[in-house]
Amino acid sequence: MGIRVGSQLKSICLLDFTEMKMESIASAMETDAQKTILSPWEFSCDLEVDYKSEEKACIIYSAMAVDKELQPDKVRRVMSISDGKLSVRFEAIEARFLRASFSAFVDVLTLATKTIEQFGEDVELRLQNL
Amino acid sequence: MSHRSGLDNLMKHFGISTRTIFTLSSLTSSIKSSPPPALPASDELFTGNCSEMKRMIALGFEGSANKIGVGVVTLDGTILSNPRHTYITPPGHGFLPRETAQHHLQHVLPLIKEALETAQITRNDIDCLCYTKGPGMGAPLQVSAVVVRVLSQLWKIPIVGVNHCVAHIEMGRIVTGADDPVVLYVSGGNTQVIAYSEGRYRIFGETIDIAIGNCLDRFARVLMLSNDPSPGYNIEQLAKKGEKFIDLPYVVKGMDVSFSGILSYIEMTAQEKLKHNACTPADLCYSLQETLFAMLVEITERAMAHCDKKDVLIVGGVGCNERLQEMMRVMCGERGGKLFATDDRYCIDNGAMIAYTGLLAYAHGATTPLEESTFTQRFRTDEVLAVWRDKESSNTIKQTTHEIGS
Repeated sequence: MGIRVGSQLKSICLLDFTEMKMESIASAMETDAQKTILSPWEFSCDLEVDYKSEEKACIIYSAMAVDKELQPDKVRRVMSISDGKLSVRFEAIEARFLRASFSAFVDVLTLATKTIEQFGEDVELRLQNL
Repeated sequence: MSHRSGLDNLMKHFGISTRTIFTLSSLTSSIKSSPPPALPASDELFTGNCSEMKRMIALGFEGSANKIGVGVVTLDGTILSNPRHTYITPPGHGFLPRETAQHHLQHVLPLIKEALETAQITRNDIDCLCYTKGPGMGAPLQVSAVVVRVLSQLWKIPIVGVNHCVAHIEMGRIVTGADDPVVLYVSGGNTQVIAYSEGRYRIFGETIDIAIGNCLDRFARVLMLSNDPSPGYNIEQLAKKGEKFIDLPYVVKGMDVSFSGILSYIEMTAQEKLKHNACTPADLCYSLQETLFAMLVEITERAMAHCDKKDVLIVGGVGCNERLQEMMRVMCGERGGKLFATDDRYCIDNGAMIAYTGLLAYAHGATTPLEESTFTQRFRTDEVLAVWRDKESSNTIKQTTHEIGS
């Protein structure tokens, strides 16, 4: 399973899900911080996780979509799924809000993914039968 | 916790909360009523169809504070498994939301495996997945919620959101057999005197600032007591060696209590007194316990007199304090009633209490749709319509209210 974190302009890095560390997040943030855009949503970050399964991506999407951003005036999050990939875009008015929201999201996303990995044998089976 | 007006206070004393006035006829948003999915009618469930009751199994997740627990129970209250893991901080430190959530993230999945293995069940045996919807710390609550949402989709099993306080009460009732007691719910995050009336658990008295467990825990930090197994337990052990009673403020306001002033007072005077050898840490623990527990006994007794109930049930983490149980037992004895209390297995937060309460609601047709499986830091005990207690009548409050009104 691959995960990609990228800023608007800079290159996109491909990381192993379990090895994703704060450094990658921080670097993505910095590149955004250097930009000068007049929109209040000055800081942004994209996250893409390839589950290689529409069903898995959909389960994760539904589980994560329930919790709304706590400060919608400071951070906003848009999620979508396509081709078994979950794409998430974060936008914030300050880097610290982006960082907090992003890292909290990734923690929980990791948990949701591990839950599927450890308890979702059936999903694999259903796919094989199709 | 809340700042109520005099009118609110008055209404609360009559067992009516401002919130419930407006929503009495409607179900709370957390629990949606739907026809029970292929289950026997609720009548059958409670008139002795034991095999049906035993067959219904719930998996419950608790993670609202520093404990993460997963429990498996059946509808008759049999606990098949109930593993939990506690986040213990170094002496002098409390637990913070973020770190606590990290702890839960690490332990929740192994706990599910352990719970299923110990209970010797598979996912096919599970009827519903229950999780703590609130109240509690946001980040730790989210862990249980997210796991349940994923499992619900993977296993095609419905979700039931559970109020943490109500879960403590129901667990206490099933474990002790207390039928309709006045409930004292005392923990690190809550202090409430509760009684059932007209479909809900009504709050008769509560803390107006911090919870009693919070007061004890924070004083344990002043003395640098260990947080293992819990700061309250270590205070209790130390208090047994106390000999001298130190006068502390005693703060009961009507049916409510206040602990933050007492904590400030003892925090300020403790260092001074200890430095001058005016008392020992044990004396302080003893005095603090005696003072705080006396306040609880007072408001509990007043609630008993008010609702004309004879028995008391103590639940919540502080409820396993044997000194509190002893003081309450004396009061109950004097009133011709009984004290019901449990030990640390059931008092302290656990997954089984969530599973059992969720299963009660589920057996009466309540489930939480995935989109509504949110969590909330604030979720009052009286917001929940206790549908499973509908048949049991409790008219005492109503009568009392009418008598006073007429």
